[in-house]
Amino acid sequence: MLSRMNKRNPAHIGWRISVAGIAIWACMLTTGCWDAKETQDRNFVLIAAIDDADIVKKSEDEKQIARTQTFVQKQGTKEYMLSLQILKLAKTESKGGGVQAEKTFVISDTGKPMFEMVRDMLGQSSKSLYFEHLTAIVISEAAVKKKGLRPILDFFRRDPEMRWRTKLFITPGEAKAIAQYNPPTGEPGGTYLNGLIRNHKKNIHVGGAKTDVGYITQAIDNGADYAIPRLDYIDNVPKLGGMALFKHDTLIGYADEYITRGFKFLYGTEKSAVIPIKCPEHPEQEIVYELFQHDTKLSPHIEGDTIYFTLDITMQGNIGEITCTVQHDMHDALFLHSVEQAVAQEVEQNVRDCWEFQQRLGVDIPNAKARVKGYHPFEWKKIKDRWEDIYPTIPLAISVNVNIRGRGEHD
Amino acid sequence: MANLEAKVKMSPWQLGIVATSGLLTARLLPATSHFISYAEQFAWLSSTLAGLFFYLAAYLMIRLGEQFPNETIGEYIPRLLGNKAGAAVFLVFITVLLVNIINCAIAITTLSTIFLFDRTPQAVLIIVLLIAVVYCAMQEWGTILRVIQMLVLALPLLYIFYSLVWLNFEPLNLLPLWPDNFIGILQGIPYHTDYYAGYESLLVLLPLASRGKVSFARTVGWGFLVITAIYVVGAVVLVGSITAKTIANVPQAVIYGMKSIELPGTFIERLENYMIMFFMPVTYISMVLSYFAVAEGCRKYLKYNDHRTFIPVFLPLLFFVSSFMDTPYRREMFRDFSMFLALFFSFVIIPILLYLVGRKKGSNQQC
Repeated sequence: MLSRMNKRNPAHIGWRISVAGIAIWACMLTTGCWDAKETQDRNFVLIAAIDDADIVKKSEDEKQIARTQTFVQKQGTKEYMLSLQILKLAKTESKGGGVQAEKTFVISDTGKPMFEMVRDMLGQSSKSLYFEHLTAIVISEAAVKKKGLRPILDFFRRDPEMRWRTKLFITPGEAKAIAQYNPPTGEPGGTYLNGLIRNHKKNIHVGGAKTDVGYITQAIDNGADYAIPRLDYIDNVPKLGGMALFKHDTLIGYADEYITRGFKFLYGTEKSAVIPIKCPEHPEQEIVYELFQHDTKLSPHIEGDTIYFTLDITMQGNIGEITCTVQHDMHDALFLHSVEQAVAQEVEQNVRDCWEFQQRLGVDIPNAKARVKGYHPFEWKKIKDRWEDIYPTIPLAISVNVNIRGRGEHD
Repeated sequence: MANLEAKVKMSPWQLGIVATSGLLTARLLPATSHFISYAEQFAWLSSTLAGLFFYLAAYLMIRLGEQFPNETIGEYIPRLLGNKAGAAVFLVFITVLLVNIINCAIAITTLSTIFLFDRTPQAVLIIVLLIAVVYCAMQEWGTILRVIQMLVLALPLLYIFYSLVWLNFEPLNLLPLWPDNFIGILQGIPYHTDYYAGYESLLVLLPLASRGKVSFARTVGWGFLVITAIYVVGAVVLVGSITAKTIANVPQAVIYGMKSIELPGTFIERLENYMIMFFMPVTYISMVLSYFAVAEGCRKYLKYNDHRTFIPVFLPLLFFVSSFMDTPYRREMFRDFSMFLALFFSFVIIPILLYLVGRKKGSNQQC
């Protein structure tokens, strides 16, 4: 009885009320209900397109539009134009006649810090801009040539809302136009671009491996050279092919589809590529080799004062297509062996051209520097100051072993 | 049915599990980029040496505790050093554990603020976490032991989940294997204080363990071996996946390692959020253990009957200090302070105490 009375004293009651109050207050603040934001209250950004701000000065019409796409700033200059492709969450009505209605819209702003432009764009957007589903960042050649890639990418690397696997593209033309593109498939433009780059394993002309924000960040952090897929936009059609090559942070030039193919042979990143070669018996016709397994090993060697690299490639695949008008005897081991030899020569020549091309440009996309440093650390210390002079002279010894495993469904 | 709450003793193997389950906490997340900026791609070697280094500290504490069976540091320290010096050493001991609780609270709530509750004030998360820790630490040791034994299951789950980082592994990032940066590797070792958090609680936990055929040094050693192996393999895979330079540039390297994973063919995304979920229970273990060790130590030192008296006493201090560390500069200052304090306690005070015990025993034998 006495203990029960003690428990009911004012201090004890006050303590209990305080504990209950703290518990309720803590639950209210940490359950996430008070700051929850529903899906329909967000504007999902799918593509961020960055252009040189000067492109808005092209015509009088564009100048008029541009006036709403900027803000007065006290310091700095208008370096870039940021355009965001935003998903329309409202149900889109068909235009009729099978024409797909746009599922996205684009807003733009000019300035220098990306974050400032994003916040100023809220003046054009009724909902907050949400970057969790950003699938592609398209940067124009003109923008990247201004101050390099690092200042452009900083916002996308620093903000925790961003993802590391967001795809990067460089376009020689206008990035905003790509953001405005409405794919014929009816899917949003960002999803479409993401799908294009995902096909890189089958398309030997597209360098899509290790070219997203995360890997480019690693390359920048390590002072390495890197390549980003090139995205052209001609006659309202986007087309992936080739790569933009960066030395440290500067755009040095482009690799065309042939050189890109050489890089992919070097890396071994394609999974189902096709390699056309001249028919050994009918040189005016072609035989297409379909690759389905590929292993490469790029190794540095130092012997005395001589540095060289070796590349061992092993390929396995099928005969994918023969354009010859005469039927070949596919049971003839000599013929199949001659095809294997021809594919090996083609690959070897392609890789050699690619290696020499990048040496001429002075870029080191396969990260030869890191390989020499990693495999020969003591020798590296002796040559690291002269590396830029040594690198263009390093020869590559290539060994290609091609196997034909199948010849297709029908001869 | 046995009253499990009333159980006050644990086996040597339970001691090994309990003492080492509190080592891995969210504290290691900000510390990773710090120590890898010194050790670079040889982080695995630095972590291996750090495992030996901190086990040495734990071993010295076990040796000290074995000189005074059934007594905590709060009981034998006044006899050993006198009242004033004993009080000072006891204060350092209490501070080391309180600092661990504060660092854990800062680490896990900073992480939650960035990735989960971006608009919730960090102080709110801190008080909620501390209330949950207080609730558990207020229980009897038997209950706390079982809570730890249940929550420690999150540790293998955390590690299995973290193993997904292997998907991005590239051996070239680890080369050269032969270290040419011995100074950096050694400099990285003390920064592992955040990797081995709260083992000082052994000085209170030892009397709670019954002596069996297996020595405490062995059971705790196995725990350290497992944790060190986790750290070494973790360092190899992290450096191999996102490179040492990138780790040095990101504040929460392990989380960013998870962020770089793309699981092909699945709809599960943003894996870093799941990682944070697994870090919560393992950090909670360390906080509860340290808080219990503080309260139990005070109880024995001041000869009280119940450790629960001391639990609310430290709550305001823990809350205000944790909330005050709300800028990167303050957090780094506090982390450096806690590192030096923990190292001073483990590698200066404990060896001196062991020396004094040895000398005292020697003179008693002569008598």
